[in-house]
Amino acid sequence: MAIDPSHFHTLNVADTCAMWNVLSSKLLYQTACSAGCVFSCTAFVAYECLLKPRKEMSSEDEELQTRLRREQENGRFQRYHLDIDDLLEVEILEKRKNLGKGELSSIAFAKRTQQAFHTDDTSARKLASQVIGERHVQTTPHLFGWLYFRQLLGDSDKETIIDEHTSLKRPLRPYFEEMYCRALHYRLMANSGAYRVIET
Amino acid sequence: MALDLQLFGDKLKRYREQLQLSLGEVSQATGIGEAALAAFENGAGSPTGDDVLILADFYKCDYKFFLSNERWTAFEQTDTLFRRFGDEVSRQDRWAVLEVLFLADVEFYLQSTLGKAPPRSFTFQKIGGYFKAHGEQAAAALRTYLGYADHQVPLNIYQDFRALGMHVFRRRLDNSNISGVYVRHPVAGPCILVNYSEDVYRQRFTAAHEAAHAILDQDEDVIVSFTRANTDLREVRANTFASHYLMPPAFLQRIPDPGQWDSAKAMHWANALKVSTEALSIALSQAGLIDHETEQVIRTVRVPREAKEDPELPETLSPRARARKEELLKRGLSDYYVSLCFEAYRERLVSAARLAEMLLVDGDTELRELAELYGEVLQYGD
Repeated sequence: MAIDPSHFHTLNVADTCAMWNVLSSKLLYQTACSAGCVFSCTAFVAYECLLKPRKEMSSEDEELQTRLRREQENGRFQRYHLDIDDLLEVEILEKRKNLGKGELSSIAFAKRTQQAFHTDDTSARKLASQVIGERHVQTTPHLFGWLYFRQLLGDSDKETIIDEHTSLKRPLRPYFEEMYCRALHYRLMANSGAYRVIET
Repeated sequence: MALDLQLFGDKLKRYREQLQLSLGEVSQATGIGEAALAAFENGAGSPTGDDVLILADFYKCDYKFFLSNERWTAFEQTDTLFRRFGDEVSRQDRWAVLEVLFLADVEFYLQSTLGKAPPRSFTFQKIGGYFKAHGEQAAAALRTYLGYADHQVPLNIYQDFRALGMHVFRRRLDNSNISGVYVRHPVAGPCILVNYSEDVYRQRFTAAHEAAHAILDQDEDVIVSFTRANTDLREVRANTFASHYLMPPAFLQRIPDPGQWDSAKAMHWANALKVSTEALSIALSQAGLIDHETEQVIRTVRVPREAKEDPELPETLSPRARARKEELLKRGLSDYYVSLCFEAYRERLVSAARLAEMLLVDGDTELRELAELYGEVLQYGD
């Protein structure tokens, strides 16, 4: 099902890739926070982002790590622990060879706390939807579209966000472009009374 | 289900000891404090779900292994291997074995999920107690099974053995005295590790040697093969199998003037059979075609490195792609394995993050480079 930019859950458990994509644009991230969005992560994702030894670290990786550390110091992107029982949920066990451990932990935590799982990977979205339902799986382009739908971002912000995002070698430019158009279309339909937006 | 803390702690401690790591080293790599790790190992601390995932990620094992009593990993096999060959398997090589077994587990899962699991229909019944005859007969039976005529040389033996359900990985090992390792994985089945540090033709022989263990030593869980001469009957049998599989006597007997050899002829036939001159000289001698003096002449000849073709690094690749794929091979990532991983990703059976785990990649950038090398695109859209 195509992403609907008129709805967005504000409480999100982000996987590693989504966390970097949200943090890649300061404007996008700050606007999302101002709109009441809260992003958290599991301790495993925090380990994957900040502690796990890597063969190589690019300057872009270092910049994103710096932003994450700063946000965590400011009380955002808080990390939460899973219980052993979360890992023993049948649906989680069944998906353990299909999803990354960061995704598994995030889905298990989102399920228990009834938050949305925030991921930008197509396959992770599909597999997570089987566990927590399609409406509880969200993406960064979805967030972007929702902020446009809510008119919390203006037309001139689009290029700024995309430039900030691509300068850190993140891959979502075409999806931001697509979602921008979709958000405008949805807003037009809402303004014309074609449908009513129900806040969630 | 309550976690058996003592059992969990025991597994953790044995893993750490297998890999010859200190608590401090594990703590530094995982971010879990030394005191907490020590408590886990003593059965005195309760891990969170994240701790279990982090430790499973670090030790490259299925997290379910830590939470159950079932044999989900090759843990017992590596335990046996490292205890039996302790001093000869360095710390780096222990990691290499662990990673290869992880790759084998993934390969088996992907083959099964994608409907590509080989039938494992080739079996060989040993008759009598003459080990060398077992090797000769099994090689002949396998050549017949795979449809090789006497004059045909198996070009891609890695493909041959994968078609039999074996998991074949070439990987660079630290100890040049180890030519190969055979492990029977409780889930994935027979796994073969070939030391990539060896010469291309020696690797072929090693792969065939380890395949012999998979076919003929089914009661063994682990076998390490060394480059040094070995009088162990199982090793003699495996060498006989490899020799007869790669150089069947019927082929050798057709070589013109079998008693007359010079350097050019030795180089030509070693290259035609894709074996080392040493292996060729032994095979000719054992077939009764040359005398001891000629054997010595043949084995001193060297086939130039550039004349040897590696079926897993074909000449058709661009120099850049070849260099990149060689780096992957050294880490155990065969073209077959990587292609299988990307196929599962294309079919949306696995996510990009799982793909990165399966390919031993630790960041988006490296994963994107690898995808580009294989002409794949990472998917982020609807």
